[in-house]
Amino acid sequence: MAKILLVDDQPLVLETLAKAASDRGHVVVTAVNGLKAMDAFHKEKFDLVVTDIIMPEQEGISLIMELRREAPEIKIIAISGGGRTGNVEFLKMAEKLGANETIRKPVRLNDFQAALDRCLGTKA
Amino acid sequence: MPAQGSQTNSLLQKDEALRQSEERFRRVVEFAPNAMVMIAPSGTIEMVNREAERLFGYDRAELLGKPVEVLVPDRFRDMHQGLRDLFFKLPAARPMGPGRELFGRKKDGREFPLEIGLNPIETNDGTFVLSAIVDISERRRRETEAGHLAAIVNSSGDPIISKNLMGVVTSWNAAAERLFGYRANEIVGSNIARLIPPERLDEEAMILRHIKNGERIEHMETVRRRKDGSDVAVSLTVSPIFDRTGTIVGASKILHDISDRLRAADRLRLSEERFRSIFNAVAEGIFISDAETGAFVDVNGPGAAMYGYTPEEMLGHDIGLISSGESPYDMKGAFAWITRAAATGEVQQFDWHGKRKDGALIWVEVSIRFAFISGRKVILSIARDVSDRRAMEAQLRQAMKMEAIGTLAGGVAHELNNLLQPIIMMTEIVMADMPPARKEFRQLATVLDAGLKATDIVQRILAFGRVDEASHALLDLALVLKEGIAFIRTIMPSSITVKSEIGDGEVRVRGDKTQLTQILINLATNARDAIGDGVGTLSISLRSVVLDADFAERSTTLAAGTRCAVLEVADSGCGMDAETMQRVFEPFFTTKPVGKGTGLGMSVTHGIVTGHGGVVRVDSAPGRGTRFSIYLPLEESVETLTDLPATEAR
Repeated sequence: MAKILLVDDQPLVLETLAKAASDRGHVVVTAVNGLKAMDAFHKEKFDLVVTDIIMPEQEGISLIMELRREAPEIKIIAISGGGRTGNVEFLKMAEKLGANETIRKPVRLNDFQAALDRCLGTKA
Repeated sequence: MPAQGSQTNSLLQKDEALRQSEERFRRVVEFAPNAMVMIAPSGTIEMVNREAERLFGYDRAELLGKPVEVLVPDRFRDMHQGLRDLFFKLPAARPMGPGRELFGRKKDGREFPLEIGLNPIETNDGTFVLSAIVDISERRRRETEAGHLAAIVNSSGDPIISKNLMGVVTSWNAAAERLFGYRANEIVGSNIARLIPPERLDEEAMILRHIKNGERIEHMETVRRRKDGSDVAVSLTVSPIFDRTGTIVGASKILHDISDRLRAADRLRLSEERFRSIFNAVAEGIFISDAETGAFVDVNGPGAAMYGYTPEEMLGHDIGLISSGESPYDMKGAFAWITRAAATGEVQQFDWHGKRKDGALIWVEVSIRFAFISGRKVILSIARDVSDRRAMEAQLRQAMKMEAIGTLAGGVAHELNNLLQPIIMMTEIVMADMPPARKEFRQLATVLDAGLKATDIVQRILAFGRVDEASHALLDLALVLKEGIAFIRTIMPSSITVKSEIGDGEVRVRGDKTQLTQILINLATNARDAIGDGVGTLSISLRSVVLDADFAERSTTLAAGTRCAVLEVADSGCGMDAETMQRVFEPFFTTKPVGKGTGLGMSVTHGIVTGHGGVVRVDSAPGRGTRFSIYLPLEESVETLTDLPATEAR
């Protein structure tokens, strides 16, 4: 059992992913943007952060950069429904900045849970 | 005294004879056409005849016995007396005052020129002088006139020459001397042929023929030769010379040196030639049209070529000839511009949709200005064919639109994915805890299926965006296509013949095998739908080309000289009109019936090709089928295919 911080501006996505994670026995805390996520991150200790990329009020890319500065050992999964803006592929960028996994929305239940297992298993 | 009587008779007879002789003499003198005056040794007038009376205006009674000096002007009187005395000392028949001008004085005081012949007559009373006087006023007048004429001829700036019918020069004025360099004494008496260059000698025969017919030759332009051998351009006017009886005896020639005029004309011609060569050398079309009728008065080569004509073919025609006919690119529209140009006097610029001789429509950028040329109201137009530029602009507009649509598609995809996420995953979460036998499980499976289909559509929208080049590998396009074609044959109905023209050699491009196969399948699917239920052909070919400047000009990404692989997929289907062709790559644009197509196939194809650094061209017309040509830059690197990961290369 691990503690997961789930970040997405879409409540329906948050609800779904939280359900998928808690069904695997994990404790899930949610935040709707990068600022709220950092607030939560400073209050508690997390094993994994799953973050969306395109969000209002601090998007996922800068969140990942900040997390990596403060907690180099923390596991991060970047997840996005967006493709790219111009030549920028967000998920590739997230990967380069230190995301352990990248996931495209919509992600199947099994794939998502497998990604969680990979990240948390490595930690364990 | 008969003897005396006979003597008397004889004397009488002699007297009578003498009297008759004298009478005859008197009558001869009296009626002579010249004035006769007999002077006594004393210098007095002894006798005058009728003509003398008339000439001097006196009655003879007024003159007889008077000194002859009354007939002499006052200023000569003293001298005359001396000369008279001298004559009487050495009387001999001779003209009076040789070398001097002699004048008589009429009764009314007027003087006149005269000539006098002096004849001494011996008598018993001494030596008398019979003067025969001729009034030479008329002759003098004529001589003066001739002198005048001679002076005129001689002082004429233009050479004046006369010749006889044999062509022998008979007179030669100063100007002729100046022009030809011969002095009169060198040329008068020689044949005029000396002045004629040998190759023009037959002209002289022609001139003489006309002269002999009494005809005049005016302003004949020819060349004559100077004494120094140089030639001079002249204009000749030759007139026959008639003698008093009206017989043609020769010809007078007036020559005018026209070298200057020719030089000026030459300059004008050169200037005109220069203008004409510039007129035809400029890249722009130049049209000069009559402002009233719109008819072309002059058109340069490039202008005519722009419309597929020769300049000659266009002259006389009006703007209707090169109008597309659609408003405002018709006569009415053209005249609106012309009217504005005439009213304002300013240059008017506009784009003109013109029609070529072959019927093709072109865009032309036109500047027109109202002008007067040779007193004629004309419209001067400078035109440039901007069809290519407009096509390029359209292509750029299209590209920008595609980019915008791509961005929009990305945004839409993001939103949809965020909605699909809970739909799919929450459905799966619910289904995970549900026995599959339950009715609700199957219903949820339908929801999941729909969600996954929607996901697929969204993925294709995203594919419209660029493909990351970094993921591309070097591959043999020929091989990729051969595999793709094998697959296509399995999905094509038997009514469609699939022809393939792909050589054995490798065609190396850098790209994504799956995406390139996707292109082929998309195009083939499109072709199948275009052919429909009928019988048709799908032709797939691959070749390589080097792009020419013309192609590169219409492309924003590929430069001239680039070696490209060209994949052509052509069908014999229904074809497309221009509007459909314009929109064929737009996402969601489809001509297929609802449910048969998503409208994404071609936009995905466009996205993939663009992502590969290539270009898609489409050529189609309703009823004539469609051909898509995909240009992909050939890979020139030395890297060999065997170095590639097996999954990419084979």
